[in-house]
Amino acid sequence: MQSILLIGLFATLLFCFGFLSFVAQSKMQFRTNCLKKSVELQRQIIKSEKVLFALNPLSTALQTRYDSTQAELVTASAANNYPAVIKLEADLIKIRLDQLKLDTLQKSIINSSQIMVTTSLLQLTNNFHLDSQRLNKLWTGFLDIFFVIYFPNKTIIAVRAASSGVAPNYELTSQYKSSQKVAFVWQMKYWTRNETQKLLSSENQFELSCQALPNKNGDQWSIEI
Amino acid sequence: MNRKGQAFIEATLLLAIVTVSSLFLVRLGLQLQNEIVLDDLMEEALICKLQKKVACLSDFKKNLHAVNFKMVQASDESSTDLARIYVKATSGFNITTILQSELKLDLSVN
Repeated sequence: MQSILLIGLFATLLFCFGFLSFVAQSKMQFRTNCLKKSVELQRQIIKSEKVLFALNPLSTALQTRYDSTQAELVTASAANNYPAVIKLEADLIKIRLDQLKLDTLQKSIINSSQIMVTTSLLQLTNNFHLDSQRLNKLWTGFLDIFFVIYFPNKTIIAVRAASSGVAPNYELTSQYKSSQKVAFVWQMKYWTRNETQKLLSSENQFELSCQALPNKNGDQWSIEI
Repeated sequence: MNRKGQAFIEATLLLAIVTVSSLFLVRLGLQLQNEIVLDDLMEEALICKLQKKVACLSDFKKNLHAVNFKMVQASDESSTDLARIYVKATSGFNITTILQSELKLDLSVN
């Protein structure tokens, strides 16, 4: 009888050690994956923003041309120079059309990046969940284990128009780090199943998070973790 | 007499098995505890290295001493986007744990 009790005690201890090891492994796996994937996603967002900001000189040039043509048009109108007025009006329409094309391009870059971010966040959350579930198969006979993985903030492309009008210059918002943060929270909750509770009753919860933030210093971009 | 002798031998054997098993289990538990603590602190140190902060290794050693590790030897073999730390630490019960951990993460944007 005493031997059986001892064997039971040893088996329980071994079970606890094994589970402890599993929890540590799960945490480690999540943190490493989460960091890598968050950094990769942040890098993709920054690349899109770099493409958007690279269009700023063109935006400025078009607006400057539009303003100067408009000034010339006022002068030509005052001088009753009708041939010049007709030509300048045609120029203005052409410049405005170019601005509209640029505006469409700028907005499509922002929108497609935002869609990519939202899709990636959902996909990554799902992948992290599947990875965590894969590890816990061994324990499902004894324990009920639940993983909750979520992104605490909605990551947005933190850019704003620097001026009003068509095809403006774009710049980062003042709170770009927090708005554009890619972050995930991992929670694991477990408790012993009904049959196991007769021998050992246990319930606990662990939480872990990771994040990747953009950082712009002059023209240099980097990612903070 | 024979039966008493046999019972004594059996009891001694059982006691020896129980003692050895208990010691083994305690050692296993302590080893596991050490590894979990070390892993956790090493990961913090690796992230610290990748963030290009200074004094990551000395902070790591301080943290190890704070959780009762003695005779800590730690070396850092990090490069630009790879942080690698090697550690040999002995806990209060003279259990030595040797671990090496690395994290490869490129934080630059080109």
